[in-house]
Amino acid sequence: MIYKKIKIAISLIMVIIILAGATGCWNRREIQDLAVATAVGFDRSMINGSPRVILTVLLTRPSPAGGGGSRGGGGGGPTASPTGTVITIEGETINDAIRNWFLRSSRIIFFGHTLVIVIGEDMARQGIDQVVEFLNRQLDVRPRTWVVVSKGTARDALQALPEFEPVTSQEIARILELDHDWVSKSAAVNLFQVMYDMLTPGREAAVSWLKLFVPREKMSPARMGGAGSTGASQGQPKSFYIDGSAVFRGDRMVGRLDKAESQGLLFVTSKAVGGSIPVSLKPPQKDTSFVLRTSKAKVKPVIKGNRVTFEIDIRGIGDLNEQRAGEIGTLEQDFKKVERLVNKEVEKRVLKAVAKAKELRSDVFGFGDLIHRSRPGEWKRIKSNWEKIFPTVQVRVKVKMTLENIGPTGEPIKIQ
Amino acid sequence: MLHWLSRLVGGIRRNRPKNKPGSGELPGFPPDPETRTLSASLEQNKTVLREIFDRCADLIIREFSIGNQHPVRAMAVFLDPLVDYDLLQKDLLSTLMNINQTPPRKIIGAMLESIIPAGKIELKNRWVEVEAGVAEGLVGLFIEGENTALLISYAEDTSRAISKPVTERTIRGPGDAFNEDLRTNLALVRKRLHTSRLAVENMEIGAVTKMMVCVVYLKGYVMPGLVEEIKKRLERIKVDGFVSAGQAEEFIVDSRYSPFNTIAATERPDLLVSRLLEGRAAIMFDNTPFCLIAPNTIATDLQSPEDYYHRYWFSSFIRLIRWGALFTFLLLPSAYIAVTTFHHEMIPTNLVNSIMAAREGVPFPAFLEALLMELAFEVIREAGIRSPGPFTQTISIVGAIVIGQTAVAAGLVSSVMVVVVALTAITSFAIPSLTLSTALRPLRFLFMISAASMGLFGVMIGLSVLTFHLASLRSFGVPYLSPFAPLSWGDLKDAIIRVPAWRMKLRPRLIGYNEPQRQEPGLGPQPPKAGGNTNTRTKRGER
Amino acid sequence: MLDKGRFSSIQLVILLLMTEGATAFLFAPAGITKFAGPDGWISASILASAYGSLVVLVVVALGNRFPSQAFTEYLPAVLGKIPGKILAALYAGFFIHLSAIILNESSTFVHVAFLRETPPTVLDIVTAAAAAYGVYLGIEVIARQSSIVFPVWALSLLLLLILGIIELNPNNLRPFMENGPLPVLRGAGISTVFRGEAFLLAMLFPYLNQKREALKSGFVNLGVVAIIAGTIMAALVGVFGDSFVTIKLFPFFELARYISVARIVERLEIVVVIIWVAGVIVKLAVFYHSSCIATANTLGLKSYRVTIIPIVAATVIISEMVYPTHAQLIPFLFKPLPPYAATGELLVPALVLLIAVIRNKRESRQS
Repeated sequence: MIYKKIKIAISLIMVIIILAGATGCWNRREIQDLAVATAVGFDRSMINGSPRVILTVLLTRPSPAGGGGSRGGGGGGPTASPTGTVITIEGETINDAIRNWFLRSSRIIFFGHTLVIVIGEDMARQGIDQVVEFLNRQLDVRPRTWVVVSKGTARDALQALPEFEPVTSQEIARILELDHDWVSKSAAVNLFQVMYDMLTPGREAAVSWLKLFVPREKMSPARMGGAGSTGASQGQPKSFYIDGSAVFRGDRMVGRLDKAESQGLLFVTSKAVGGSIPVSLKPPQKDTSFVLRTSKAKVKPVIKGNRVTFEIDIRGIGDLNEQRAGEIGTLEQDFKKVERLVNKEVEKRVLKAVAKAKELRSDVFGFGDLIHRSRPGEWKRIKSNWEKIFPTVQVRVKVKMTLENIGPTGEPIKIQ
Repeated sequence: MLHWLSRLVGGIRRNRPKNKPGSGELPGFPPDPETRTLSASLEQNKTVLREIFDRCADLIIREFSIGNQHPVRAMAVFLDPLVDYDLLQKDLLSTLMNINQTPPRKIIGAMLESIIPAGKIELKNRWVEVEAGVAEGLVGLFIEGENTALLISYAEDTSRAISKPVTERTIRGPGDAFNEDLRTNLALVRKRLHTSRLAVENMEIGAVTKMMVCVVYLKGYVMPGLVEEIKKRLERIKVDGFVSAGQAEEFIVDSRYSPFNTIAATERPDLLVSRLLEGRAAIMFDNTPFCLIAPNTIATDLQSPEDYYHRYWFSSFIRLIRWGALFTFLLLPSAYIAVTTFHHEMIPTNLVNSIMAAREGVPFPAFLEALLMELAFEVIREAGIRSPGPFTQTISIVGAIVIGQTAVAAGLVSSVMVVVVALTAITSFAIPSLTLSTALRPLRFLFMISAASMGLFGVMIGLSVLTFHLASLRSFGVPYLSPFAPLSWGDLKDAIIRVPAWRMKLRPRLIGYNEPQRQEPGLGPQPPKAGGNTNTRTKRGER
Repeated sequence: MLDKGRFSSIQLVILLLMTEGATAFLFAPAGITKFAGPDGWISASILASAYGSLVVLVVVALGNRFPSQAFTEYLPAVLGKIPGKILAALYAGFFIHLSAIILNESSTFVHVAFLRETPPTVLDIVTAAAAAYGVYLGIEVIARQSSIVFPVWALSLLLLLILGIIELNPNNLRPFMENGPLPVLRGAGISTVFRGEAFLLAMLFPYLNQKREALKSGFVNLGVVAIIAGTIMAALVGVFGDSFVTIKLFPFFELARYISVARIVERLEIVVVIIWVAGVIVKLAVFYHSSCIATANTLGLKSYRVTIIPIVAATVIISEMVYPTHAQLIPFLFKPLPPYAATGELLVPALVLLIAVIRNKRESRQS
């Protein structure tokens, strides 16, 4: 009988302990207490003589739906169109900056929905290892977040006005997505890919390059105050666009690839999809467009001692979208004519890219990594010297593009 | 609290009554009730009867004479409300009063045999039995000079007409449901099972109510040992009385404290019959419009007779929806709390903005909001049961939503919350077994608490504990989680989906193993082959 | 026989599968990849299961000699009363230690990955309590619960794997055996910890319904785990590359976060919670059960129920005091644990088997 009572007593005590623990709810955070950061920017700069990290955060704050009236009745419901706010904070380190955030803001910053990470040029040139480490340790930040380097400061970039989307971050994110499928003129990478490139020996990171500009059109949404209010804009309203890629060596930015060179890079890494390659049937003007649909590259290293040559074999399929003066019909030799021109153009771009990379001494193609994977023995030998060897590598490019489609017209428009 | 503590240390002992229930001396009862027998004197019997049924104004003692020639005095004793006067007059009184021949010696024996045209007659001589019989509604026939009495059944049918089922409605199925009369209910069952295999065993429960209970099963099909176990458990019950089967249920289940029902209840005879055919047994109670079925499994709880009246395609789809509804009902409020409080990265970005805007200005944290709304809904539901008319459920839901809208407009709750609560409410009605949904209703609050404290981790822990509990439940020996837990592929045919009827060759493995096969294989419909009877010409060659 | 429950061979496979798999895909991949590089999948699958088969063979051989007794029950019979009891007590401590480690792994993961502010102590207590409830109900209930949970667990795992493999880059898995077989073996050392848990079969043996199928079930289990573990390793390294896998504490969790199909199927971390909690509760329940049985055997108790609460409390305390942060846990997992576990799971049982065989031969020669 006494056993039973002891058992009951112990169970009760345990239950109380568990309940006491359970009702604490330490990690609880109400959703309306959050400040959702859709984009984050990192800069380094000297402020009052000491090096500081500047953190810029682009927040969305759903506008309180005009009082109680619009909420229940009339089937309206809360408005889901957010407005963007840019807040800048600085600190000695990134984390310091975040803590300083709480000195200014009433809400908890939340990176779970961050779409874009913008790295200012200063920060990029001085080294992004700290940023990457920080992001790595944040549980909120998702590995698929896009990363861009901006000319100038990230703070300015995030204050640029979007022309299409309500918030800048969304616009950057969409632009990068589209670049991948339609343009292929920039290395659109996400956080994971940046880390991968940095961690893997024999590879360097290439990141999209963001530039600000003042749109010339008077009716551009940017000039008219933007689709969403971003607070007071200073001076002329600026919008942004993507212009090629930034190239890193290790964690420092060392240079840029322009649009054509970026395309070359993408060809070699089999990431070129979409994008147009203009060629000239009647030089010097470019009058014909070959629109790429898919492409793939096979790279083979040939190693003789310390001399390394890469044989790059690029194949792709595309359509003809535009031509001038009715040169290309449906004849096979016409197709071949275009293909030859396209192959040449692609080869030119690839060589340009390789040359630039060699000049910057940054192996963005991952050639070193390729050697590592396919010739591990050789790689062991030249690994330590790869920085010196890379600028001396030779590249033999062979391009074979196939023209498949010239649109629903058979014969071109011939002006009579 | 103090009392509990003092008991813990072995203190106060309260007085516990020692006698058996229902054995308190009945006022007016003759001493030694068990053994006391009738006397041969009519007057004495009359006196005793008046004493036993003291202050029962509805006791009628009708004295008359049997036979015309040498009349013998007799009396008919009965309780007015329970007896059908018509039958009494025609069959008993007029027959007996108009007998021409001299009633022979051994008069009662003869009556039993040849004269009284009643269907059911018993001969009793102990007062206990006579009292029980008259209280039950039988007519007691006492004859001068005999110390035995005849108990004759002329019951008046006071039950309501057979009507449609209340909670287990179907569209295509038969519409008769059990009512309060045990005889009628048995009739509904016997109508569907024209076989002598259908065994009916009687018992009485309740010292005062003496409710008639029948255990019904199909001989040869039923699980071996099941009926004995059921009877054993029923016999263990020693109470004053039950009013309905629901109370008895708590006495005979396997697990004392589990909220889940290991005994099913149904008000449909067609459902009952199909369960009997599977090898289960039923317990039918008098004065109860539903009957219990043992054993019960979770798969059974999610089956509805409707499934068998539609084709397999639709039934399987609906079953899957029901399973989804089960989980939704249990987990939706908890998931909402967990995701909006702990796991904000789970929500798609656009939704985050909506929810944030919706919750702007709401004074309560998500957990409290959900708790209040759910409790409010439970109250509305409870109130809706008592509101009149066939639209009670609709009114409840609509009312809840209307109140919800106003609450949102006043800024008390967020609109998302109203959606969650409405969905939860609707899914609770999608669960066919009323007992299962009532078991789950309080349970979801526990899940809400665990979600509020530890997010989805808490919910998962709660689910683990719940699964442990369910895995440990047995229903008269059959694990509650079959056919899932001791995995039985064959039985899954009827659990999550429903395969066409001609494929259900075997009875459920753990229940019907006495006689596994229930239908011939290969009964799928086979339309005539082409080239055979597609000929539409008649014999004379005309189309 | 301290527990009247019984379960079938399939349930055994499922039980062992969930026990071994639950933690194997969480902490192990980072450690294995650190030593074995991109070839970790070989360590995790083939090598580890080779080790596992040795364990299974020893355990089944022992079990067949003492079919109705758990390992700690027949130790006195084989080794003599006093040494047997001492070894049984050591094993009780061994199981309790392992249970504490598992508990710690679980609360560390949940604490670091999801509920960063909830103190791990609370997570410990809650997880331990849930598992303890299962132990209280008996091994049969644990087996049944695991067969219910198994489809959810397996499907979630498969879902994540399949969606993750979309991003697979086969180049990441090369070069093959870059530094020779040694790193692969070292990587295998870590996965043997989890595969060696097949030793629990020695404690579960008396509850099997079909003891003859024990050997077959054991090997089926090893085969399936090999495939799963190998696939997971290959997927992780294939998608992320070995450098990335090494630096992340929970690469599988990262994989769940990385998956994105048509921008609709995203944010699948939640599936990892499901997999994790479901698996770890089963695993913990099995380990607790073995601990309780071992303790009850050592102390000669009639029922193991009394030991549940003290053992659970002990594991929580050990988890708190010995491994308060994962700075203590991780180094322990990767360095001392493999040999420690191997001793208890393979070496000592093999010795016991040897002694049992010798004794048997001696006795049969005498009689």
